[in-house]
Amino acid sequence: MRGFAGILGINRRNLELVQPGRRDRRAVIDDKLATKAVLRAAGVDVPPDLAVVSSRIDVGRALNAIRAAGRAAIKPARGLGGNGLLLAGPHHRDEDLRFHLTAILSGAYSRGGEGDRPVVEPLLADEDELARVHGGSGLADVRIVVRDGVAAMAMLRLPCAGSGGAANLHAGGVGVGIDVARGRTTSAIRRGRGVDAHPDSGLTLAGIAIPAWDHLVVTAERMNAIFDLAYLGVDLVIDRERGPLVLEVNARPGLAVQIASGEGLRARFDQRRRA
Amino acid sequence: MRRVLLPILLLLMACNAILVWRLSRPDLDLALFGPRLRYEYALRLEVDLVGDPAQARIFLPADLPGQRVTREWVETSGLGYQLGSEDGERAAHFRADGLRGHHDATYRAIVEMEPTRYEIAPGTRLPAHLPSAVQAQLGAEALIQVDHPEIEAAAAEACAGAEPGDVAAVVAACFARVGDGVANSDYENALDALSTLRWGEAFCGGKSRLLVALLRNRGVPARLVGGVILQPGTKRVGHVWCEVWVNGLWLPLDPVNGHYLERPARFLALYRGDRGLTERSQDMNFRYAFTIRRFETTPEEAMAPGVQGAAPYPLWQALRATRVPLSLLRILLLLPIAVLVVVVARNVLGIPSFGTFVPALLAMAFSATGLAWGLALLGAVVGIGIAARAAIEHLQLLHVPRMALVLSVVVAALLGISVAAAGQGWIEPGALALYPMIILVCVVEQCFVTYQESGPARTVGAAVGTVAVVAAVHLVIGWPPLEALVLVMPEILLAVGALYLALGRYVGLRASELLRFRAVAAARAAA
Repeated sequence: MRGFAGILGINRRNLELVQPGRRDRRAVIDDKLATKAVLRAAGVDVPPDLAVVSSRIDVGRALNAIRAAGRAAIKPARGLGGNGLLLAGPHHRDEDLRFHLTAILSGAYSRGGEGDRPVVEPLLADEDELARVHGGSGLADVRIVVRDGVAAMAMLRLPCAGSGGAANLHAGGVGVGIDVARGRTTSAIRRGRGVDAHPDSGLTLAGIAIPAWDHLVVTAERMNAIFDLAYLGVDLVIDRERGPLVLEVNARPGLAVQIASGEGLRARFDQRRRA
Repeated sequence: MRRVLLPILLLLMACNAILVWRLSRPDLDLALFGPRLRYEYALRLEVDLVGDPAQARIFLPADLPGQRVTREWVETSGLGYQLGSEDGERAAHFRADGLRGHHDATYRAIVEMEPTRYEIAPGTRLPAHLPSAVQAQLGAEALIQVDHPEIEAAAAEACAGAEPGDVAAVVAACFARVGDGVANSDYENALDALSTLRWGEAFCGGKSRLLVALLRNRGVPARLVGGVILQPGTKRVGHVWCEVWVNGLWLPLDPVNGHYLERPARFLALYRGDRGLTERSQDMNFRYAFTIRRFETTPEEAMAPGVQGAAPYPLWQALRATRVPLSLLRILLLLPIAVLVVVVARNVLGIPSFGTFVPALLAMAFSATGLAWGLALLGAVVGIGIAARAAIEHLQLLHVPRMALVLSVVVAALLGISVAAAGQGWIEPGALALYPMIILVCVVEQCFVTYQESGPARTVGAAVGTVAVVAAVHLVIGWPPLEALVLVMPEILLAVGALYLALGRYVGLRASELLRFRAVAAARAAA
């Protein structure tokens, strides 16, 4: 029973960490396009926009930009999780892409069905080391939980064939805890159970050195000040072409990072405070 | 928790003050909180006539210990009727001379029920002379073969350890022999005492007759009691149990459900002796069904002189001038408690559900149909909704029009199910009102929103959680004293408010999180 004392549960997270934050700040984070604008202004690297789509007038131009780039990622700015993500490629027909862009504009994927805007970005790819570990089934990312400008806990999220290429743990991705001080992976879980090797590549998941780790941590720790929120989850990718980028910021980061790290967030906050 | 301490204390003090004032009033009828249950009992006969003279007789409930009939009336579609008695039991006789075609008649009664419980003092002995009426309950009957050698042997063996005249021991021994020694069967197989003894399994008729046979064989007067178990809903099967005569009282025994010298409040007795509930002449198609519902006092009936014990609810009295219907008041007052169950299920236990108010309203809507039918209806509606959505997936419709189309299909399906269920007599037509329909449609919409936002796995989890939460709410608000409590003492809702305040600051781990993080906790404890 004592072991549960340092674990952060959803009740406490909501009451003490999420709700005290300003609602208008959370609204900015809930919108990926607004988030990217704020980050760009603060000098943080984010994926570029292939096209800006504010209304149906812009759909035609966006389609041209996507075809010129060959591949792209289309996602709703205010979607939840990976909902509404479409990885556009040459095999998609024009009307399919048009429909998806229009559906996002009509609010098919946003909370409450209100109007939304699509985010159109070039398709990102992992740099070699991480791509090797997960065998190229999708895009890996690093989730760092930051509180009051200090990185508390982190995990590497890897896609696999079984998760349909999503790194998301709910979809079946692999979560690997990262030692925040040293930037090396520790233990891993998939669907709530411990795993030692990646299901596709078979490579060991422990002891991997995360590239550019110091840069990732410094970037993530800036987020609390930039967005004026005390508790955030920052998702970063290390793109093969463009290097470390901030993909997304979460105002209500999930608690599974504790399972991946084998440690409790409350205990971690206490350690940091005492240090 | 400190922030809410003051409001919580204020609420509890206010609640306490009002409670104390109310309990000190002399006109408070505390009997309202007792285990007394009030039901509307209806027995509906349906006949197809060919024009010949036809008759039917049913037995009616009478005033007995723990059972009181406060109102009764008959509705027929053309059959003549007369209330009277037959063989010492209250009865209604129906007749039709020259009528043809389908007709029905319904007897309804409001009954107030209390459980009864007795004990036989050790050392009680049978008196030397029994009253003649009771003496008659010792003899053999067609299906109760008291004097058969096998019955005699079984009775002797069962009561071997008991002193012959010791009534308490003999009754207990015979009850154990039939209650435990004969299995309960779903089939209407062994009907009489001897067959039951030989087969070793029987339904309520067989087991009760065997118990009566054994008791009578040992010289203890006993008889069958026929009736029905009052559960909300419609059914066609009654129940049979026994009574044993001790010191001038008939004490209840039910060897099927294991009720020893006690009669639960739900057991409504309709006749005594080995006879049928109904009797009818030959030339007709005949069937009957019981429909039972928990009874709501309408304002007129509550004030009527004939109804005893229905205390005028103080809050109801105050609102009567504004014409707020009692049924609405009941819902409004019980809703905070129903929602409390949902909130505890979510924030303390971690059981997900579709929405917060929807499961609570759903459970309250099911009090009319019964929980089992309600959940079946819910499952059918959600299933049809999912099927409809899957069927139009390929049409690639936009979100809101697609939802509207699916919900329209669901409404049509609900209508069809309602008409079919009422026509078959599964559910009483009055139970399918607008309000449960609306709630069910809301559930389907919530279900799809969850699917949209969180994916199939979470939706299934929320569906299972919703069923569990609905059942829990139904259990809580179905507790009979609660309804009376909240109508007579609405100040307890202040205490409920205090609970909400406390829950609002509850930051502990949910029960589901104890499960989810058990590996982490183990790792932490080991380190």
